[in-house]
Amino acid sequence: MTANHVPLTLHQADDPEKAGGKVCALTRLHRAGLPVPDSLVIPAGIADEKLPEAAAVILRWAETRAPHGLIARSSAINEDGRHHSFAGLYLSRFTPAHHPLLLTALHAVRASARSATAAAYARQRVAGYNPRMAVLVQPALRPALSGVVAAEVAGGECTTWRIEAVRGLAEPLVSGKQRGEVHCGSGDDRQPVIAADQQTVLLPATPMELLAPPGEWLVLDTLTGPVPAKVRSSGQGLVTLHLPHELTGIAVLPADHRAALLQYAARAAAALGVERVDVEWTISSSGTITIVQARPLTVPLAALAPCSGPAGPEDGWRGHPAVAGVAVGPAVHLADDAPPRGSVVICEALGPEAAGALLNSPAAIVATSGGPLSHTAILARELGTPCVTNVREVQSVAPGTMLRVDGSEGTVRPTAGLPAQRTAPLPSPASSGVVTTRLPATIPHDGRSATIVLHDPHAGSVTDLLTQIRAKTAPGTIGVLLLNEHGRPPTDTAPEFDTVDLPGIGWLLWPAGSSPVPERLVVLGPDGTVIHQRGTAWAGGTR
Amino acid sequence: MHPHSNGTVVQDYELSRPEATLLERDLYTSSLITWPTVLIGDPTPFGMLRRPGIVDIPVTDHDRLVAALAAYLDDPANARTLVDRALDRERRSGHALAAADQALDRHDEPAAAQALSDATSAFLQVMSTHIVNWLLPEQHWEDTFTRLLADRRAARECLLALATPGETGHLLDAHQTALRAAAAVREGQPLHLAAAEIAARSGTLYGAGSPAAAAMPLEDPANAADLIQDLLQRPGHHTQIAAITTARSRALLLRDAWEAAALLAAAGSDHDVRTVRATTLVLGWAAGSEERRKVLRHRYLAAARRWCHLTGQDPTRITTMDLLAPGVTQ
Repeated sequence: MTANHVPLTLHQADDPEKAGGKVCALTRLHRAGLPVPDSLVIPAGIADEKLPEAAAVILRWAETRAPHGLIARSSAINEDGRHHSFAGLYLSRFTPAHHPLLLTALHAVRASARSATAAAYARQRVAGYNPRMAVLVQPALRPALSGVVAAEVAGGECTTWRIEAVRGLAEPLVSGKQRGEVHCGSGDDRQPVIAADQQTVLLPATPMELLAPPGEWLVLDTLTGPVPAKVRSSGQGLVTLHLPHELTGIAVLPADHRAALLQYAARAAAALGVERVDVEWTISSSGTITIVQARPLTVPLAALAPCSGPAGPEDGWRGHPAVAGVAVGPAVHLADDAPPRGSVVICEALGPEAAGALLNSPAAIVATSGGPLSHTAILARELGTPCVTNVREVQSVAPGTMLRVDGSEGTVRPTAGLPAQRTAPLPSPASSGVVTTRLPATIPHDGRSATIVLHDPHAGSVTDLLTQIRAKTAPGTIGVLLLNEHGRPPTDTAPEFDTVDLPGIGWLLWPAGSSPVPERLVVLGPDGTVIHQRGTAWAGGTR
Repeated sequence: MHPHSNGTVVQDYELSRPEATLLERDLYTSSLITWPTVLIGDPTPFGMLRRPGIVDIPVTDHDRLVAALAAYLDDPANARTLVDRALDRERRSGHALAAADQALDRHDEPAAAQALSDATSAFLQVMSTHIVNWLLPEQHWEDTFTRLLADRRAARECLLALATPGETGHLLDAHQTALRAAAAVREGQPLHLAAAEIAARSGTLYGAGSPAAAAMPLEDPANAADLIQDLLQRPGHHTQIAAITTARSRALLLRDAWEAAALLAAAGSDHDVRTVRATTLVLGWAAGSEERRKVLRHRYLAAARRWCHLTGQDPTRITTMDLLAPGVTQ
């Protein structure tokens, strides 16, 4: 270390006014014989001008210790207290072991002491807030798994506890970006483990690994051996890997390591002199446990999220809208047998062998993958069945769970039961001109005042369309609506048709001497209901 | 696609298609690189091949070409040109694959090689349309239709309905083929003939994965016969063709109704009417194109696999170059 002891080693850093709450807690754990990482500390109050020299010392120290870079962590004077944790309000920054980058990280962490978020938190909770901050620097650990333990401790044992675990670093877990594997217990009562929802693994990387572009293969070390994994992205000393397919559905935290973590949590509580403790931990691929951080748990465990299965968020899961419509029904995972009528069918990508099963009038289809043009979406659209695609989360939905599927919004959510019957009257086409894209084979007696065919210049001439209309012995008036695409039609298009100017719409070829032009134009869906309407603003004038 | 800090976007089919053979990955990446040329006549390659399965696309090229596609598709004349050319490529692929199948049936190696070369050339261009799955300007369309219909939910319903294929999608079509075969057997057609029909028409489509490395179960007429027998034993199978026809008719009516609604909403603005016409054309084509591409892809991969067996090659190791110029790279 330098002559004026900057940075400090961990056992030198026991003054809370200089080393901050996080460092002092680690020092106490270290002295209690708990496995904490090698660390150096830049005390609070060190001038910015001293940081380059401190960074140089750190890098010399790190040469043989930090193959995966370093992490600079906040240790504010008020941090990790008994009543206020400041959890997540200050910065931690991974960085390659490179002087300019480390220096940038040190400055960034120190600056977070004065962040608006921390200040706002302090104003509400801390009298006499002191924004001084030390910085803890550690070699970045490359864990096979990591996570947090929250425990209530009595008699040297965890009486109630909750562990969350993910593969790789815990940052996505503690920041809420990933849902970890959850283990809960009270005394000897262990609740069923809730599976993690983890698609990617975050790891500190070597300089060579940071050069690997997305798509290249790196090695993901696990407790059971190395597994090849693809790079998703990298930067700032970290690499994000896609979770290898072979690890999907495999438990993250083995029972023996869970037991060891609970023992460490109890010892950490004793070392800190608290009865409720919050411990952040890592486990290496060789099974070595390291306590990265420990602090008093500022709220009772019961106040944390309950230990229950992923029943789904209140606002549901979001996927791609694929077929419009809303439906409610019990969830059924597609298997060999046809799902019952009215069920919400959960499926992966479909083959033709599934088509027959889906003809049995399911209420809705939810696909775990695919987009609005996927084969499953096309099939559902052809069958007129509301559908949402790319909702991976529904794979874990229990059969029989009532689901509400909104194919227009692309949402799926658990619901209490079937919706009330719709009683509002549907709009009808009465006294309106019904607009169609082609001349219907038959014209229904649905109260319409006329049928109006939209002319498509690419499909044929107006003259041809009028010839078809003349040949039709259909009930009611039939007109032709010309949109403005090719300017005003010639006045001699058809002598027996008037050319009516519909302002803001176009021109209507309207049988001369027939009923007045309708004041309302509507478009009907296949069930005869109005899906769109527009006034004609017809003032009674013709050509 | 995943952005990288070095200014590229990475498209990784090794990740999205982990079970794919080298030929399948080559098909996807080769056709991805050439889509600007094939679809909108822009010679700029859409990235560089890292290896079959992975393409690195400069962000600037990516953004410019995606925007160019959106602008191109906003004009109904362009859209019609794109659709007509794409349909022509599908036809050419289909003809070449038919020729390849016939040559393979009679173990005519030179004729099969030539037909597969032609099929590869045409099918690579068909494959370029796979970008419609994720490069169509969907958000732009949704925003435009929301403005026209004054309701985002209605806009989504409209756009989804417009993405209904004009012809029956491949899943229902294959099932209809099986149902018709079952009906024919019930009326006296020999089982083996009906089974052969299924195997030839849609045998490559049944089962998990692709026919690139190994035959799909229903390429074997014996398995197709089992499917027919199974259908004959299921209650209600004889009503399913009618149910499919009714559902399809309703889906097309809904599509036409939403087209009329969008045009009526756009009426009064030439630009909006053009946008609606172009969007209607492109969405209908895109939905059908994906269905036809899937069928052609499986036919193509099955033909390539059979050619490998005929010529003693490993179907998991060949690339499009082996099929474009057989003999040159062997």
